[in-house]
Amino acid sequence: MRKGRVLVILFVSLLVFANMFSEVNLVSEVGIHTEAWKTVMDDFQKETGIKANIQQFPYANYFDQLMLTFTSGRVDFDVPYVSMLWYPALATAGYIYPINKIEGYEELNLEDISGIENAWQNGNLYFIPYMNELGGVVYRTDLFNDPKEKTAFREKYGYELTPPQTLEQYKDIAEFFYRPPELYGVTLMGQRSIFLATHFLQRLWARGGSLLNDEMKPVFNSKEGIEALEEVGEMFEYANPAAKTYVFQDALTEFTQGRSAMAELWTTAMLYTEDPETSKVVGKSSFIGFPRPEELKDEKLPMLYISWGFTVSSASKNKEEALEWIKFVTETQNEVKAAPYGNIPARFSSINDPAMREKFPWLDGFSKAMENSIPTPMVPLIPEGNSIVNDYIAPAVSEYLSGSKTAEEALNEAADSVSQLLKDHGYYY
Amino acid sequence: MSKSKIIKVLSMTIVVIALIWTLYPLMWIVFSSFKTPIDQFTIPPKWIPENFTLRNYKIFFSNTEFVRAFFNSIIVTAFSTILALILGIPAAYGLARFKWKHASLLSFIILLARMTPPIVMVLPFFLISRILNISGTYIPIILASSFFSVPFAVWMMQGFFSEIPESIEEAAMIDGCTRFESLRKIVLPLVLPGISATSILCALVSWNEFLFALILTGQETRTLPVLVNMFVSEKNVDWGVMSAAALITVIPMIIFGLLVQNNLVKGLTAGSGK
Repeated sequence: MRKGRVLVILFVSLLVFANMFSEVNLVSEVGIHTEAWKTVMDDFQKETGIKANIQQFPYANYFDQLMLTFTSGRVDFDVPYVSMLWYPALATAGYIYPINKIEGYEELNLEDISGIENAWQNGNLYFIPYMNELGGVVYRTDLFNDPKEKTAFREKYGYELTPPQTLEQYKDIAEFFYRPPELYGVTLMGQRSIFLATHFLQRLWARGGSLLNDEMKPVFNSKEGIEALEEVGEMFEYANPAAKTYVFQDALTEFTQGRSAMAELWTTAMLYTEDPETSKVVGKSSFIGFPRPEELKDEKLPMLYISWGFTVSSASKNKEEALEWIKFVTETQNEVKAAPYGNIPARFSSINDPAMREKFPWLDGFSKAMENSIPTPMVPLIPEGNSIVNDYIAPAVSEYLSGSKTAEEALNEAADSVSQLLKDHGYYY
Repeated sequence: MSKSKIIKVLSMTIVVIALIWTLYPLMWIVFSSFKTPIDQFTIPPKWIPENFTLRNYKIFFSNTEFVRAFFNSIIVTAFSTILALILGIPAAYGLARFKWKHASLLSFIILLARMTPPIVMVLPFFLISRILNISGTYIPIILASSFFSVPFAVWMMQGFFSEIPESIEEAAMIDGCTRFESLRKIVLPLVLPGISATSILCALVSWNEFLFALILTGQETRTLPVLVNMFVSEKNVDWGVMSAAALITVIPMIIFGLLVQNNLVKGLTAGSGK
């Protein structure tokens, strides 16, 4: 009996002793969602006894730092916090480990996480989303609710002024509020970049089109693609001429300065528009998912989906501690606790939490859009995905906007190049 | 108006244009650092802040990394400059004093390092430091900074040494000095303005070095220019805090420049006298 007690005490002491030295090393960029989850790191240690350490890099070179560290083979972190767009390359190279192979992963409630299907590759789960957002439209509620504007809009277009649910409404509203130089109908991101490509992708998907078919052949030069690209051009007529040089940060600044009625941005924009330090439109804006054509209004279609989340390094010696961290930080209560510091949680239970809704009323539009769409990453989740969108789609959109090519020419040339790229990489012969 | 007066007015105009050209970005940074985020991008743009604020400085100084980054910059600058002088002065002396078969080719090869685009050298430095397990420490960034400073020091100092007549050294050696003693007691005091100018310019290069510091430093060894970049995130740039950070970063070098400007001018003039 006494021997048993001694053994139990020894075992417990051993556990306590082991936990005293347990730690997990996190690596991330400098950004608002990282600042949010950092706020629960102490709670994690209190609850589990595992110390979480973090090293952060400037966003501009974070991915390069990660890749250089992985390729050098001397990895000193367990949990890289990455963009969803990065994980396929990391998984293909074997730098990150399948989370579903770590004991205890079943305790993660995956059903509750929107867009989780994008985190699986070849039957393995590599990525647990923490921050989720959609591409959509942020709009000025003060203008949309102004009785004078409502009357004027009804008189001109014959229907009620409401946040745009169809592409037709979206264009009408942009035209209606186009009052340069004080106010522009819509803010777009026209610099030759991935941001510009998103304007095309959203319209392509909204029309039921796709980038690649099941055989990985490019199909974005379809009739839907050409219409989508032409519509991007039309929408730029209601934007600030300077918008042709904008990226996300510039577009956000224009909207928060109150210089446009709508902006084609992502949900995170709301965290900045509601910040009195940076915005002149606090309490005067909201978010709605990207509109569709009238005839496809009620269809569940792809919508631009951006996610950041946690992965586990293959070189990690603390995989179980890494999983413990992921389980802890993505628990609903912890997501809700951290969100006010700058995050849009990935769990439905978090975004539908009453405290969250009270703090961020615009989550209603986001939640509805998330439920009624197929969250689709802005680049195909293959190692060549970034190149397809950055090197071929974005230049095609830019060439069309500059007038150097027709929509059909620009898309056909891009499709040929993408086809060649995928052929060269062995997707087909 | 006399000809000399016209030349004077013209010269002054050119100087004023050059000053505006040089100081314009700096002034923009100074004003932006006192603006609220809302006022950063008002249309039409306003140079002078309407709502003067110290918010940006408060945020920057409350960043726990500031003090560490400041000292890291001092350490990296001091050690890389010392290293550049330790290696550069003897090399320059050797090249200036001794007749070698391929001395001019050697000088050119040394300068090649200075001509190489930094981006080409980043990866080898990173990989070597990883392999030697010294990444994230001061060693790789100090070595990388001096990698570009040494050729610069060699080339500058070579000019200064060439200006000192060999006969002075020969006289010292006839009086019983060894070569090293004549260098230490006679030549080095004579090229002191040159050493000052070289060290000042090497220090400036190291202090402002960004690319290598971005890749080679870790959280503990991050320097000030890298810290400035920490205010750019995926979707937002905090221009006000970045401006405050940039200003704080350049101030030590401005003060240093003002303190040593006499030596710098003296040194540069001496170097070009031959």
